[in-house]
Amino acid sequence: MNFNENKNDEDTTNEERFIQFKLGNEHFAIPLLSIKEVATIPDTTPVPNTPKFHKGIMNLRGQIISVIDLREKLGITPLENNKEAAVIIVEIESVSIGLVVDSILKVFKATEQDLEIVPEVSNQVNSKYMKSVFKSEGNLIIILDLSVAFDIEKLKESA
Amino acid sequence: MDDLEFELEIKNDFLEESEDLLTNAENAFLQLVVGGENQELLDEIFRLAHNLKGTSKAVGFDQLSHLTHIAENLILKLKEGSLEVTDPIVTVLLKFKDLVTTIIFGLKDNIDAEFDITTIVQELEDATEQKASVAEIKETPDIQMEDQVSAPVEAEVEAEVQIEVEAVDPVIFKEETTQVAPTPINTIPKKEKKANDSNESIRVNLSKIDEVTDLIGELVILQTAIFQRRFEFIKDEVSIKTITTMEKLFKDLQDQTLSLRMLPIKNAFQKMNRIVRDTSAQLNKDVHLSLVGEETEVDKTVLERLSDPLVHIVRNSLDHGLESTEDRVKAGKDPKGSVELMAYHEGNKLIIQITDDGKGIDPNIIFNKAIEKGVIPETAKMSESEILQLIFHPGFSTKEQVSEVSGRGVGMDVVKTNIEDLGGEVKLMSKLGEGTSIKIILPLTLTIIDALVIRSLQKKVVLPLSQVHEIVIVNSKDIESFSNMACLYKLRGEVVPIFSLNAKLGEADNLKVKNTVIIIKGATTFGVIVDEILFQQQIVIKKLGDDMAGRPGIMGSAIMSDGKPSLILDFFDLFKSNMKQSRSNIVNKRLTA
Repeated sequence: MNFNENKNDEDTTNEERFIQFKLGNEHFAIPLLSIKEVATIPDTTPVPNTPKFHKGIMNLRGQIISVIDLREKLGITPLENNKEAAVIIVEIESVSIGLVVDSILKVFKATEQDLEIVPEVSNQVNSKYMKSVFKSEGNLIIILDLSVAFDIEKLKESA
Repeated sequence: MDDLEFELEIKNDFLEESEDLLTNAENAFLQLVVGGENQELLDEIFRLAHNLKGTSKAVGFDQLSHLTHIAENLILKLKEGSLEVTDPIVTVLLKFKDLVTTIIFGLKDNIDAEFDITTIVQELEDATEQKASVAEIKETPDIQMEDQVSAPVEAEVEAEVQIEVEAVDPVIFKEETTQVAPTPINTIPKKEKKANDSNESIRVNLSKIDEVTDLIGELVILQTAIFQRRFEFIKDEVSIKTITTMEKLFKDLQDQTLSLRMLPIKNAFQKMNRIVRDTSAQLNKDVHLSLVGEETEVDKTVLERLSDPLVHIVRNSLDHGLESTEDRVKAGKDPKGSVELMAYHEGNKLIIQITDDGKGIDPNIIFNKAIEKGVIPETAKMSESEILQLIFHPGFSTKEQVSEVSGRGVGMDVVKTNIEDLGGEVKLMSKLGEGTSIKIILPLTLTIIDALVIRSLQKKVVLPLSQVHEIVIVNSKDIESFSNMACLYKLRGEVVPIFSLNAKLGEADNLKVKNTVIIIKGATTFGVIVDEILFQQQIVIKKLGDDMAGRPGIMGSAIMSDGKPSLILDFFDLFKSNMKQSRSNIVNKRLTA
């Protein structure tokens, strides 16, 4: 009975959870469900002939995955003297990738109505990676479209 | 509930085991010689059938045990000599085996499934009754092998197939059998002897083995970390000795776990007996199949995925490769065609070669067909060998008529894809009028290799030891340099191009006075300058993520003793582009000189 009620709730509100993080001084978010785990900045081994945003490969308990500097990828200047940098490990099209961010803030819930279309504002980020925006406590949070930002086919091509 | 679960478990166990039984049975059926001496084989077949009947009855597959019983009657007559082994009988037996296979796979899907066995029962009965009027039928009560469970069924089934059951005096029975064959008493110890020959074995789930292999892989990494630090940080001699001994033990342990996954290629090969028998009958060709190197061991995963490509290649050899008997006689060849399957190890590669002595492949026909099908442009210029490889192109089939056996336009490209998925390659060689040979080259193990750890500036990179031919120290004055990418060095009189690893990895590089050069010898010989060779180590190959797949020169990654990943490089692949460049450079240099 309880279960059914919950389900109805979700159906009407379309509530989704997001993880909010900082790149430079800007706020971003990605859907929580795309995240596998969050880790401290690992030792990475650079791979020759890769784009600058590709930091290298890391050992995630025996699995080797690529680590990408999201700041570099989106052209954002990283924070200086930042001790909060972390790696968010996401799964895009069944490929695990680590994303370096300046700091991880929190998890928030938002319904479809809360999300607005991307306004035509000048911002450091290439707008094609932006899915929507969410206003919270005076901050503008940009919801990233990871599948566009990390077109796996394109990553392969950059070999 | 528990009883039911138990029943299900023993049923499933039976189904697993019966697969082996069936493979053995098929091989035995195929070895039966028409009109020849088959006694030992027939004893073996009888034992297998009896075993299948007994156990299937015991676990409650009544239909299966009924069917096997009828087949057993036929086999018994063959064994006793009251029926001769004929080709139709072998065919019926094979059909019977096929149906049993179908039933067993069917039961795996649905434990309560029922099957239509009337046709085969009729055929088996017909075969059994063939000489019924002439020969005296004796249904031998095989007392020695009989078990309690199957006894009542036997009686029941016998009534159905209307075989006269005579009470046989046990003494007469013994006399009779000793004349023609070892008594059943003798066959039992013989069976045990056979089991010893092929070593006793138990069934273990493959995922368990994989888990053990993974764990040992991780242990080896840790052990290596201690081993490399044993002189620096550990002062106690006993500890150092222990660590050194442990290193050896770990190596053995790792080898052993790897060998757990290895199986003889026999199973995949012997299937071909049946394929050749059926296909040659269908095509009306007389074919001799020879199998060489059946004991060659292959990784289980490789073995499983090898079976389909092999079937396809063998069918193709029979259909397209071998000529019809008339054509063979006309060409002055042995009317009996020959197909040979050979497996052997070459370094850390497994080679499987399928050779026929057929008419070979005419490159001109392939070339024209390829143009016709739009596979290559009309203006294409290719060597004969290159043209032959077009056979592996998707949608390529050269036989004019689409035959029942092969040639539906799919096939050789699937073979190629299957093999390449396993990290292998396929080559086709052919001589017009003499035959065709297909060579499959596969890596032996997929996970662990001996490797050389190299320093390139601040990075550690890994090179498979199999690629290293030799390591030489070269003085810079002995290197003749004419461009950044290519230098030449005279190694014992042979001019060898040498390249810089650092430059290749996108770093600056200057020649030092003394340079460490790794000589790589393959289709071409070249040298690679590295900063330092650190040590030799066994490494576990880890796959890179899909986003990094297919990068030239990078085979994968290895986790080093410090827990950091290093890249495993394939120097052949990495310097492929340099080889082309350096060749043109050398030519240019000669032209200007």
